[in-house]
Amino acid sequence: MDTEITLLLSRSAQGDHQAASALMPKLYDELRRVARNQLRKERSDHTLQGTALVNEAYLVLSEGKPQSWADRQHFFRLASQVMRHILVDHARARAAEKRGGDAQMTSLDKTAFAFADRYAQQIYPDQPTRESALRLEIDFVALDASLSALRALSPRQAQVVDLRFFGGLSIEESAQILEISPATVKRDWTMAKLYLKGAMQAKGVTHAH
Amino acid sequence: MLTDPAMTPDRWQRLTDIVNDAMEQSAADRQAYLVAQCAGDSALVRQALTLIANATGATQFLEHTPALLDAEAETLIGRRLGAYRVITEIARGGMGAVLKAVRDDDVYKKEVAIKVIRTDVGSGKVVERFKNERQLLATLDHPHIARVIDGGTTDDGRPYFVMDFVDGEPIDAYCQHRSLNVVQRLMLFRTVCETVHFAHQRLIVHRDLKPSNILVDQAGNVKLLDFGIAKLLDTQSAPKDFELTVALAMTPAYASPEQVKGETITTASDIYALGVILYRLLTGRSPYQSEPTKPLDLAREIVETDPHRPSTVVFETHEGTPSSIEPARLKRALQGDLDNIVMMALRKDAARRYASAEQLGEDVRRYLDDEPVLAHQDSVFYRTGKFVRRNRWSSVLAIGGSIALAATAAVAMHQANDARRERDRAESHFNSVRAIANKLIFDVHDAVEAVPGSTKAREIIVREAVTYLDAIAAQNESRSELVAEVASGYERLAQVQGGWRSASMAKREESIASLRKALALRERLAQMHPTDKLALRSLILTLGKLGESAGGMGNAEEATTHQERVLAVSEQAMALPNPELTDELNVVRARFVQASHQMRFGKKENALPQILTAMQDFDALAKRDPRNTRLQRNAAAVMNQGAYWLLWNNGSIDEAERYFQRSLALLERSSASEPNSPSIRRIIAIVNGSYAELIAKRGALQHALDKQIDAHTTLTALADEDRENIAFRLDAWAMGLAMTDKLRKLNRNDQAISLLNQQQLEIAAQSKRAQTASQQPIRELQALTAFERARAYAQKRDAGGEKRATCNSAVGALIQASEHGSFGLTDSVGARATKPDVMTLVTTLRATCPENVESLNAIVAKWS
Repeated sequence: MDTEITLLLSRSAQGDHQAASALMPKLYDELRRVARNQLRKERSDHTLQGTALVNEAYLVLSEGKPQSWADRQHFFRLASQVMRHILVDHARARAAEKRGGDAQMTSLDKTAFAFADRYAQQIYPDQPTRESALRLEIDFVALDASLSALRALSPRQAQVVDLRFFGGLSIEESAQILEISPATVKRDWTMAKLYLKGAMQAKGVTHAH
Repeated sequence: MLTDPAMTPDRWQRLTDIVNDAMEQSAADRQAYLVAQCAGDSALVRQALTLIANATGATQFLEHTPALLDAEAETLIGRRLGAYRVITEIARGGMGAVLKAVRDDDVYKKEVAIKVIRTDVGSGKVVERFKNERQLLATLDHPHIARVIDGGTTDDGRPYFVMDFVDGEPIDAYCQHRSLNVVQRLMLFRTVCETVHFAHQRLIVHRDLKPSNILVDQAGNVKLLDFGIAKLLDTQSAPKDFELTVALAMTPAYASPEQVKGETITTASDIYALGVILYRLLTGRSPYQSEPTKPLDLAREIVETDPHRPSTVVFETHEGTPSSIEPARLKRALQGDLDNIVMMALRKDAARRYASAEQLGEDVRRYLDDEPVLAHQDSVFYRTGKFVRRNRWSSVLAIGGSIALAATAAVAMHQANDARRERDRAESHFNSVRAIANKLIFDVHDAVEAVPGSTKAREIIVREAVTYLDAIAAQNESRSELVAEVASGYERLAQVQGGWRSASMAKREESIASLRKALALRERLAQMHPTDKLALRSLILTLGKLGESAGGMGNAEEATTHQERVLAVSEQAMALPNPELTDELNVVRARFVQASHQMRFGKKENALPQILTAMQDFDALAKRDPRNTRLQRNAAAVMNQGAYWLLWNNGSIDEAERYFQRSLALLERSSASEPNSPSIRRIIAIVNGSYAELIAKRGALQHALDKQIDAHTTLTALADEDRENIAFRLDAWAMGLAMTDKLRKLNRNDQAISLLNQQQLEIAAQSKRAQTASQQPIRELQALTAFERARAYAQKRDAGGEKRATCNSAVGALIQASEHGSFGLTDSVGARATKPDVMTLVTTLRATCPENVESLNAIVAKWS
């Protein structure tokens, strides 16, 4: 793994907040680079499902060498948070744009837009993308706010949402990262979804599922 | 919950456990379980119940992670592609991203859309192919098609296409946002059909028609995107699993069975997609039950299961349906013809769909114009029988199945393609000749139509092309679709020649000759396929046109022959298995037309009983299917016409009155379901106007006048609402004549004269603008109006009007009338200028206006 990233990862895993905030933008770039490389690679196995981006990024970054468990855990936690930031910041930027604010889109926005659309297509496969993306922009901001509230009640449940939804990890993978049983992840995941759905509806966001 | 001050992390954890456990209980036991677990803490019970309630309908919530690796993560925004600078991303679909760009070196900064193809969908070869096909694509110069301007490859090897930028929204969203009604939706859809047909004639199949490729701009203009793009992605030089990849990139929700099965894609595949789109526009939902997220289920359903008829699903629909229509009403509108049109486009067997997008569009037009449509329910045999069995799922490529299986199937598909291509090549020359002929008949003709004085040129173009097509067809007599094309060609030629209303007698003869040729072919087709309803119904339509033309030319004998044949063919269609209401209707209508013809040309006293029988049959049909509004309308129109004849041919006035009333009752029901429908408002006004004639006959002139004034007001309003539709204006004028007839009978001559003068001016103005087709009825009305004026002046003179001026006006009007048309006219609403009418007037004027006797004699001489 890239020495600088490895170093920052180890330090932030030990509780160095400065290292963590320095790591975030680097992780973002890495996630993007991984995505691009994967795109260029002639892949013989056409799978119908995409792979969780953070998983791919981790495999590439670690180059197959075993990493310390703490670093691995930390990588996934941070990478999931980065994904959340990408989506929420993008949604905010777009909302500002619509209000006539600064229309300057950062490269981060653009990537996030692609993610958001991809996501939109999975949820509203039958709808014109632009329209569903607009619906989702509202959802991402609302989801972020509701998630902050949940974090106050149960940081672990909020982390499960980070890993499962934003990180794309499975129940089992999330359980490994959080070092709790899959059953607990499952219960946390169920509760978090119930809470978030109620909270988002209360904000007047209808999630058409 | 957050407002609950007592909520702490510990309490939240407890709530988490309680909620999770409670959700494992059955719904019935849940409440009791919660009460027990919460040990008297009623706030906790409430909170748990609130949370559990959120589970309803939330199975997918947050289950789709946005963090899947997306091959498109990289962006091109701000970069240059060829001569274009990318500004922003517009959309993203299965095949890749769509970007908005401007031409960098262009002073006009023309905006374009650039479609970047995903690397796994298309390689650099796509661009090569694009360059080969460029000339073909350049023929797609059409106001409703977004042009493909250029193609290239990005730095990292992704192919892209530069296209006209269209600022619009997908047709389904457009209809929903504008709350368009059924008629408006159908009119948009017709434009789409015509446009698709235009491309088909240039041998370009779209292959990926869907709402997001059909945009409508603010002004309501339709633009079709991506024509020819899908074809470029699909070819022999592709890697072996390529077609599968493309199939996956395409939108399965609009794919045809043959596309799903990996078979040859033809124009019929586009027609299927049009069917899916029409289904969606009319019902707001997909024709399939499968979730779009389950491509395997969906693919299977596309191949194996017939969709529910549109009218049967409207109650399940919540959004996107034609607005301001409640489900029950929408259901009635869809039942019958629209159901049949959609289902015919959606047939599993490509050969049994509409033969062309134009035919589909034409059937929609027929529906809109209240003409009988060609579509009919497919036979039970085809729906559940052989065809589906022959095409069981087992023989079908399982999209989404294991990759190994898919790869093997793709190789097999590839080999099958080679054999197919060989055959296709042999056909291609033949097809291009055929395409050129069709292009001449339909497009070149349409293109030059707007050029003033082009009638002659148009006729030559169409005639030459039809001759060519005829020659091809002669060598391929067994190819029914080709023969049908030639027949359509001759029908078009007849139309160009102007039909029986055309200005010159010679042209009318030629028009009828063309129709006869079409008829011969239609007869042959019907003979080849005596059980094919489509062939029979097409034959009925051609016979009907020919019968009308012959009748219009005064050739009663030929008209009779055709009408008898219409009846025979209608009865033949009726005798086939699974007769539909349309078939019965055709029979009853044929009988009515025959009797009406007798009424005009034959012995009236013989015809009257037949008319009565036909009216009763219509009434019975209308009673059988009270929800079929078009049938109700047809029946009402027939009963009105019949009642009117009874009235003027010494039939029973009471009986006539019963039919007028029944006709109005039927119309009122129709009107309740479609209160704003112009065609219903029109018929109601006309029936009321005719009924008023009966009332006048009983002596209640004032009452009759009031009714006709109302009818006139409605018809004038309709004509003002739709100035393009000359038929409404003609109705309004005809009602004007009926109205002034009552005014005159009430001795309100000045009022009558002033109304008629105004109408005369209106008609003269319209006559200058009118197209050839409507010239004849306008001239007839012009003559009738002038005649009515003459009558009103004559009566005014009798009643002591200023002698000289009034006499001059009366005779002047009569001269006008004789110039505008031959006498002997009877209008449907009651304006009449039959020979005795004219003679009576001339006699009156001779007596009262001795100074004008010379002019009067001249009129009589000229007329006889």
